[in-house]
Amino acid sequence: MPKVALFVTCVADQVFPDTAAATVRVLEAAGAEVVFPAAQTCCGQPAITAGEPAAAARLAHHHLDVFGALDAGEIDAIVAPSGSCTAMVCHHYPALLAERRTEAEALAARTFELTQYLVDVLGVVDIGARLDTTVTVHDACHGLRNLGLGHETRRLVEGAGATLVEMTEPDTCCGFGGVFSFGFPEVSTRLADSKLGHAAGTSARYLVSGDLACLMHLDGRRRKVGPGTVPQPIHIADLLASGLPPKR
Amino acid sequence: MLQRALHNLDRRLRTAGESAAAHPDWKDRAAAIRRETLLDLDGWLDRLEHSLVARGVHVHRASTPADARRVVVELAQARGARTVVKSKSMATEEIDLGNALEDAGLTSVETDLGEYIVQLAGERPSHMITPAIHKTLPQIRDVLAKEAGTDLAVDREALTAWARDRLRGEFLRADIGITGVNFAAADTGTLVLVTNEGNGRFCTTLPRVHIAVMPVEKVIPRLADAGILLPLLTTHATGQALSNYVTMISGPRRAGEVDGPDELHVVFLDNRRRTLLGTRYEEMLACIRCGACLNVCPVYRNVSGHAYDSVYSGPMGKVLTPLLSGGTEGADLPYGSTLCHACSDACPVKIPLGDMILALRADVPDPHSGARRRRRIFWTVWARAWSTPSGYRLTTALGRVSRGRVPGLQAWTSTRELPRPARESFRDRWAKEHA
Amino acid sequence: MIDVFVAGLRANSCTVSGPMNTDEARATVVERASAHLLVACNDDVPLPALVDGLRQRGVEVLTPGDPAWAERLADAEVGITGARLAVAQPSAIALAAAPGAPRSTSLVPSVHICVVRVDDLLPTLADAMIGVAAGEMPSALTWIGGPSRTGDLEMITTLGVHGPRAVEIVLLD
Repeated sequence: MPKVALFVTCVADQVFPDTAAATVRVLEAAGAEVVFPAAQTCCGQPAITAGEPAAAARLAHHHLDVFGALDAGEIDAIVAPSGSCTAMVCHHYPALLAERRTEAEALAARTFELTQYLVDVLGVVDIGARLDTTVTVHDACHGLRNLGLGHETRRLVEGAGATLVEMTEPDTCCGFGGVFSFGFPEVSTRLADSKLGHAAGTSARYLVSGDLACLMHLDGRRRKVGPGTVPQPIHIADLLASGLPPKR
Repeated sequence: MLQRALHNLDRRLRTAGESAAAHPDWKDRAAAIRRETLLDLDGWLDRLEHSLVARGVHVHRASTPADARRVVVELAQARGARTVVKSKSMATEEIDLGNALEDAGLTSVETDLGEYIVQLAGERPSHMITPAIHKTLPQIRDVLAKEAGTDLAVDREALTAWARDRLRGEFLRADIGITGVNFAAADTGTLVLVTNEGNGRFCTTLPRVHIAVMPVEKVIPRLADAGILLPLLTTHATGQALSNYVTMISGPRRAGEVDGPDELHVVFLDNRRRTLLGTRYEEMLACIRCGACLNVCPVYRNVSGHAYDSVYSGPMGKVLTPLLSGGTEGADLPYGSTLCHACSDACPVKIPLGDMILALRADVPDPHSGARRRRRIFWTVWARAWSTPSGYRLTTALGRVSRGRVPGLQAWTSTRELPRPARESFRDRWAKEHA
Repeated sequence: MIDVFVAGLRANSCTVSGPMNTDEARATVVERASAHLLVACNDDVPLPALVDGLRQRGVEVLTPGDPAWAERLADAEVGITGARLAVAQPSAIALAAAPGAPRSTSLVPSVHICVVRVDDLLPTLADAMIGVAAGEMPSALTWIGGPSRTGDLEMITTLGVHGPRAVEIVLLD
């Protein structure tokens, strides 16, 4: 049985603990054993996007201390329910932690985004979830362009029996962008409206994505203006877990 | 308007992208050529100068925009020139050459149709390839009709025909033609110019003097490299397999030829470019100004080029503007990005624009240094707190007690609901369940 | 290769005729130009007796050696040229400036007729450029893919903004 360390991400830990719990359920349903390294905090991404790489590096060192210490013989993979936080480790750490580059690269090599781990590493597209619903997918940017993800979420959705309806421009940014969503709220909101409009055009029940920050932004906008015909934003882990049989 | 126009462009580019996909290795080949150039930029420039001089071309080196303006104005004045026709070029926009010529008492006419419209309207270009993309046809009619002094129909053909006649007169009258350069081949001393309208051809055919302003990174080692770079440039710029006119100029008019300029001058423009060599921003000099990053940028598509308040807009502008100004211009531009990396993906020469935009947030000096200091203090304190599990627990517990009511969130909450911290964190739940 | 070349040019708003033999090509060019009063014709057109053929049809012909060339070119309605070479992908013709082949002939008149020898057609621009760069460069080598065009008016293509509105290619066997 593969053994996975959950890299929960600070957003899931503090704001969306149900999504973190769903991530564990999905991993277990796929046949993995999950452990939670309690000393983890945050990967440092907020600081690097704010333009403070020194502060980001401090957290990156801590993250590397916590997860790098896990025995590679015992823990098969480190998995996060976020393409963006995974990309921070895989795409940015080796340069940010230049003096520990070898360690950082080793960590990056065994850190995976949830759908990437399920589909590309374990080779599982059917985790036993059954969903009788329609779904459209938003390709969150860092998963898509830093990690090369795209088909994984779709295969899992279809593997659970749901109907996939593609929206126009599924790969265009939702407008969140971290500090951008505060610094340029008008443009950020217009981009969210555009994404929600494209999603509504599919008449799907759910708008699924692999990044909680995008979903927080999209759902926040949807709640502000009223849901109308816009599909409910939902994380892929929550969607899949909702189709699993009740836990004994 | 911009969105509709970009939609028209997007359809063409997607089709072109499919045909370009037949040559997946071309991006690699192009990227390799550009990087080979940057490895020895000064060496290639010396070779280019040598080849140009051997062809009877006059080479001028300008380290600043002011130097470049002075060279061109002095050349014009020494020849008693009165009218100058210009072919669209980002380099001449960068050095604000049109205004410098006007200030020196010359008449400077933009001859690219979009640029001409923008010049008549007293505006600045909003897109590198299609400068008047922000204007609707009726708005364009109003601008041209005012210049014509008569009424003109809101009709593409009619407006184009009027501009053709008017600008034809300018070409015939002009003493000097000024262009940029798309590529300059070091081995043969050849300037490569890409246009669709033919105005670049007129500027290099009828006036007695041709002056080309060439940013130093435009040099390519071999003319044969243009066979790779040209189709890549035009497919990414306009969706065309090749632009309708590509002119390869190797010196002034020769004995017995009945047209072409008697004199050809090339101004090598540095403007801080060579200071980027050896830095993490060196690859920005590989840029071929195709505009692909603008066309895919969700922010650019939403705000148009004028919002950037700089000559270069879109993702490449966010990188180039602060670098070329030493941080005195465009210091805020790197923050106007969602970091979606669509630009990095679209770039035909594989410049990591997204990563550069991110790095510039730390590297560009902040004109409001007090704000930068406060920012640094905030994130330093945050990083100290969150780099230990106990600090993380303490601060997140405070966040829960405040129920997310912290100052500075209005920018978010005016248009979006913000979820509050959960009553119980995942780690606490896990600890309880696994106790 | 010829099919690709022709298809590419047509897709880019050119008209193409041929491949055909010299007599047919000359007749085609004369027929096309005969509707006009003044025609500019370069010396590099690979069709013997073309100028005579045009004059016999009552067309006034301006040639680069004519002292009135510069003065009268603006009145010419048609420019006839040869080509140094052509490439199929992307589809384009290349004109080399020379004493008998001014740059203006393919630029100033509203119609450009170009006579291209099939033997001068190469498969790709990338291959062609290797050969071009190895030879002696003319003062100007102009690649032409189609009529003058602009996308500046709401990104919709409009032809004939500065250069020719029509480009007509005659392929010669």
